[in-house]
Amino acid sequence: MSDATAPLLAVSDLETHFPIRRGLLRRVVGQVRAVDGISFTIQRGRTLGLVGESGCGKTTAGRSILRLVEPTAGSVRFAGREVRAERPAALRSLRRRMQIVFQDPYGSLNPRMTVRALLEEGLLVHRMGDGRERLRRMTAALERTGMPAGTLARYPHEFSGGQRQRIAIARALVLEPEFLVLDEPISALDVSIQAQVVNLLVELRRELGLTYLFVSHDLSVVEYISDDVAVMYLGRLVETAPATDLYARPLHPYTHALFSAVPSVEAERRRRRIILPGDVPSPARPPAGCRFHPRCPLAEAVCREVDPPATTIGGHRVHCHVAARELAAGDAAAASQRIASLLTAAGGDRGEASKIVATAATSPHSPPGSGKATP
Amino acid sequence: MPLLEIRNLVTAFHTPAGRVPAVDGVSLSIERGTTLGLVGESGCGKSVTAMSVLGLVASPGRIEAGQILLDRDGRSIDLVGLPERQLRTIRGGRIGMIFQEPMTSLNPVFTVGNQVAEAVRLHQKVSRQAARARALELLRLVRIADPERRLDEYPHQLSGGMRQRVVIAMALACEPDLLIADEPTTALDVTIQAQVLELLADLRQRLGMAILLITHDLGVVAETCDEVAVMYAGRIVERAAAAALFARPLHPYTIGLLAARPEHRRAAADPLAAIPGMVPQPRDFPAGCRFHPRCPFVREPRCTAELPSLRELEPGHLVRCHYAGDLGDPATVPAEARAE
Amino acid sequence: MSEPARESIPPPRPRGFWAEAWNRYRRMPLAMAALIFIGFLAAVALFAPAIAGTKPVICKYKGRLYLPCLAYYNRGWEPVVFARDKFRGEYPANLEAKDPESWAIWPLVFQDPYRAVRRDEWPGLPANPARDQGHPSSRNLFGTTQTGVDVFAKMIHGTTVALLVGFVSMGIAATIGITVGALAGYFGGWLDVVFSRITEVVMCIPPLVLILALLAIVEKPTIWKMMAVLGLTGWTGISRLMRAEFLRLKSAEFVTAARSVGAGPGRIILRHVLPNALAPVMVPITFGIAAAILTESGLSFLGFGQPPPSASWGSLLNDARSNLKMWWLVAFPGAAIFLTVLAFNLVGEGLQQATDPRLREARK
Repeated sequence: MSDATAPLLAVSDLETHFPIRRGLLRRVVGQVRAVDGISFTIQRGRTLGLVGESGCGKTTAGRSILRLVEPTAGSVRFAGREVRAERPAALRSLRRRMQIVFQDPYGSLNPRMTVRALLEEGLLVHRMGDGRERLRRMTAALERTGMPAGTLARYPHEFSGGQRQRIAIARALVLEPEFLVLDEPISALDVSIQAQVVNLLVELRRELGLTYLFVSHDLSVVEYISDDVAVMYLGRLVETAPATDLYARPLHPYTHALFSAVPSVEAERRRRRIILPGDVPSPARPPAGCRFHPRCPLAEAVCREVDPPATTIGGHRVHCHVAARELAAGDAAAASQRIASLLTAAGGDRGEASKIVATAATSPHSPPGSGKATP
Repeated sequence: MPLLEIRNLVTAFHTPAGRVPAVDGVSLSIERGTTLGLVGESGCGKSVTAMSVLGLVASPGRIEAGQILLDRDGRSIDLVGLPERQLRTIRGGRIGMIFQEPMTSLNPVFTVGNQVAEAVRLHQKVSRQAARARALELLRLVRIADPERRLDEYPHQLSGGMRQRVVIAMALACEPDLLIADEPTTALDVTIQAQVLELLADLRQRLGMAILLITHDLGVVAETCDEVAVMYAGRIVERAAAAALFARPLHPYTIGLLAARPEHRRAAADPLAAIPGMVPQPRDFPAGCRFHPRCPFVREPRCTAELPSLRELEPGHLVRCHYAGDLGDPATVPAEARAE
Repeated sequence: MSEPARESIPPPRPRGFWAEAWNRYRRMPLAMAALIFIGFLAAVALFAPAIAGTKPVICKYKGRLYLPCLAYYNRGWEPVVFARDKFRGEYPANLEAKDPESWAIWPLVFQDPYRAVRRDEWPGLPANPARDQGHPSSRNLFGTTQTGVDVFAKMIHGTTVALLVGFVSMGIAATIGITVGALAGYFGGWLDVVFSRITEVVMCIPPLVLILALLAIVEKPTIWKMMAVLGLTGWTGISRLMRAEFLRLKSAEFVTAARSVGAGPGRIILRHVLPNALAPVMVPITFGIAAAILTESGLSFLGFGQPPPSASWGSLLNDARSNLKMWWLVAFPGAAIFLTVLAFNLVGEGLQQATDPRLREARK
């Protein structure tokens, strides 16, 4: 808290590669570049949404920050301390301040332990308080998540998915952390339960002043809960911006495609869909140049060869040759609009995507170019 | 005559803990060439309904009542109680099916071509060569790039989206009248989901088949379906044309689901209108209206005691709620939760 | 304060995994019967000297209390005073003669598992019949052997041998297997490579051949040495299963969660992984006990077991080879081996059903 301008978490050029081993001697034959050089900062009290598709490395990124998987390069500074340099004992004390909630509330709670044992573990490890103090803290954490104190004596399997996720959140809260990595915390829950947990997370953030890294593939929840959003593709961040900015004026073609692919119940907001060809390449063999180029409808010769550097406009950062050129020609809104229309035009040419397009319309939220600029 | 008509289907599981009615009086109909979305949360009975249609309800489950009428060349046959041999000609012949996890529907030890050809030969007496040619044609139909090469690949060599395309190709082998798709895109990423949904819509148009799409995602339903049936706790609570349902939902559950979506909203300004309570499991469905413990519009004593019937409130718009259309003001806390 | 979950909380029934498993196990009549039978065998094994023997369970001799029956557990435990006073194993007459004040509580059946009871050794009791005359009778419930040793007494004391072989050898195997598998699976790397290769080497050693070789070179092959060999060669399956469980569980999310709150490797192995990995290995351990009992019986039958006098079930079968007319030498020990092995297998199967997570889900 000493320096109000310093971010609580600053990640720079973080890399986490996993070796691929083969054969009897388990020789390393390659690297899975799960996280391949990402940088971002989170200010105290703010929420960064990290979105991307499965296999893009967003979960590994979250775990690398807590060193639950060992990063291979780069720096993670938390509250002024370099997480990567900490020895095991110091790391443990740091972990009290940075907690994580996992996607699957069935997998993340040890089935052989009572809720009490699960919650008490961290307190025991960090020697926080005597028996009565621990009980008080556990009861308080459960109460904050909306679970009665009677929960303590039970086993995880006696609860529904939503209740288990509340218990998992209580386990993180009991250590009174400042920073939470929320790794797809609602994806495994039923639709009608998701909103309850989202509301709870928002409330806890407000009451406890927590800082979140919200990892998710669900774009609408990320938009709802995040102050800033980072879009990840194949181990890299392709675009980072304040949430309102990103959703109103996406620049990267991948971000455009991602937004347009989300099915919506609101007919007037249904966009002209940009359908990307092909699949995400393997992170063991990422393509040269821009990693998105094999699927990008706007790919040019330069995209196949040169890894695009960051282009920044205000708080909006994008890695794309086309976006950089458009930004040089005009402001962000115009660039976003132009890229959207280029994308829809490219989609139409392929002759596939146009068939399904239902209603193309404009709305304050859809990319401004999507409706009007259709050729 | 609709292509498929389900009348009062009751499918229950007999476990040591007692009878569990997973599907409890479901009626549906699907016209030729249309898409019906069956939406609901885990344990609501949507998948069991599909399994009942296919005659694949595994022991200890059993269809206890109802009819499943399939229109076969103008003659309707009841699939309930049909001998297994005849059911087999219908499964994969008249009705194709695809499931959530494409990897488990494909056999890892056979090539893609082998499996698609097998699906063809199961229902048509054709030579091996003809089946292979047909398999190639099917892979082209589902727009798999480079189909000649894919034919000789194994499932693990394909990506998730590609596998789901192969599964769809197998389901289409005999040009079914009806395709049952159980959460076909849940395991896929949004950009791949968009591809598969687009493919399904395109296939429906080209082949004139009907689709029964089972999903938990209202957005998917809104974008792909003509008709929607919302299931809750083993029963259908609302049925309508998709446009009507999303424009004017009538059942408190549907209203709640739509209100709870965070789409294009910001946390700072407005909390989500979450549906309180938990999703009931078939073992302990509540009495009366099954949604009453979570319903903000609940009114004693009718809602807690009397099962509402599925009534047609507006033309083509059916709803199972005593007070639909006249819900009044929501209570801040539902009665049941207050009592705790 | 937070908005309450408003989800109904299940009624209080705090149930651990093993309590749940026991609850399911209890509902399986066959497995339950097998477990009761094993409990009965264990009681017989424990109290064998009090059931059949020629040494008093407890006696007062020259003003002091002694427990001569302990000699059946270990020959060295026979009170020295009786050797000094030259009892030579014949207690009833000697007690009477050397201390008229003495009294004794005798085993239920006055028969010895290692020698034939002589005439009037117990007042009024005739000598045991020998050879094929020893039909089952009221004095010799299961008949006698060629040399006139009571089969019932032998079988009662053989229970101890059988269960000891099963439990001790599998105890050794389980300890080694669980430790090796857990360390290899959790730490991986070179430790895993080394342990896995060792496991593979041990798997290639046929235990029977090793035992036969051992018997050939060791001067006094005891039952303990046999157990050690069975244990030292029988841990590979347990170790491999344990390793697989650890590999699976160490990447389980709840383990990552434990690491995230700061738990170290010792705590994670003992508190998080081991309890979850134990249920699957209980099953092969149970089957292993049955297999060890069978191996010991087989060796004794072939004559490679403990040298006589021994009370192993297998050695009774070996006796029967010389005269197949003595059917009681086949029927009773055969039935005992069969029932015991069957019981352990049934318990193993019951355990499997009671602890299998998939079956548990199906019941929900």
